[in-house]
Amino acid sequence: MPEIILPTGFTEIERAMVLRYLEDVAGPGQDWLGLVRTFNRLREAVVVIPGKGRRTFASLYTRLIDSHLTDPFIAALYSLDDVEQESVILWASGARRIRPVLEMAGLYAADDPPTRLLLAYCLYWWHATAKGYTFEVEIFRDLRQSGVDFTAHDPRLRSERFTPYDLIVLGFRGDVKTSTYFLSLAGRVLRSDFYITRLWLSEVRSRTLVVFLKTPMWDEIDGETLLIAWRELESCLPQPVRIAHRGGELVVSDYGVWKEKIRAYQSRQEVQDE
Amino acid sequence: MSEQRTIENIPAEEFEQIVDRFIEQAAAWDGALPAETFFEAWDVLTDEESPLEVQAVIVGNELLLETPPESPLTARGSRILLEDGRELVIRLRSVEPTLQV
Repeated sequence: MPEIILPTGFTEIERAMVLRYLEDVAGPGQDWLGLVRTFNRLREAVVVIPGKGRRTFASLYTRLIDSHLTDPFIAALYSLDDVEQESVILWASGARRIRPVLEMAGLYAADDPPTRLLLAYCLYWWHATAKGYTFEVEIFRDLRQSGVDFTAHDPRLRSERFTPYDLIVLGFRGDVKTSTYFLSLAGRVLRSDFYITRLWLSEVRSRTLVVFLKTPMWDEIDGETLLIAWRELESCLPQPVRIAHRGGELVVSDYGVWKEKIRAYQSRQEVQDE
Repeated sequence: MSEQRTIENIPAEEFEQIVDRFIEQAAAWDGALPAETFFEAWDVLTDEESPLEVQAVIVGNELLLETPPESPLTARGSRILLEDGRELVIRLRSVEPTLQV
């Protein structure tokens, strides 16, 4: 089996955290801050393949998993009637192929413990990216059905899949991300003007869709909002509010409220243009 | 004190079963985090900006660039697509060994 060189200082705590992730992915006890850091660190783990050289976990994921599973997965999403429900089987089918792919490549064996980290890494990113595309397709479909005028990239085309933003509304650039995927990218500057994501509200025990907007976009479609601490968000939604972020402010709006405001703005513009 | 259970110290058969259960559970989970978890982690992680990563492999005489799937960069062959639509092209050239005096 190959030798695996983990990032410097990779700890027992991190090894335990990866196991907990696999044991109860959606459980309330997950340390998501720690998990995102750990799986980002594992990108730089190196596999020394006898006679073939050294490859990072990130590179192996791209070559062996992403390049084979993601394009067909995204294409299949567009053929589903109920994207969220029907994609569950599709996602699981992709996930079940990861282990044999790594085994065939001589990169995983259950009785070779270091290789389990590569399998866990691939499963984590398969979940983050594939669920992210599922959410994207759901939102694009909903925006079309809601009559919102927008242009979006087509993730089925490899040339468009990696565009730095997913859609444009009123000339503003936006991204659609699940909250886990959003966190995985959080170490980057927020370059888009708005982000659509889904959060779990613990008090009311339900999911909700929210939009984070930079203030220029919000100023264009609405205006004044209340400045709150993020801990108050759940009690304020669906009312749009402002929260402090990195020395600036972001507006957080309920997705349905945001759509209504966009539609109203676009209707006013159509009247003015006539 | 008992040893902490980690991904590497549990029996192989148990690990395989955990992976099977993970796939069942993760398939049905949409990745929506609790708002408080999301904001707490986001606050910390945004202060830990990481550099963008491009990996390079030389195959024969050609340079092949790769980016991780979550990267905002797009690499094709020896080219990196920039946000403004331009392309950054990296060309390999051979260098004659310098005469050591």
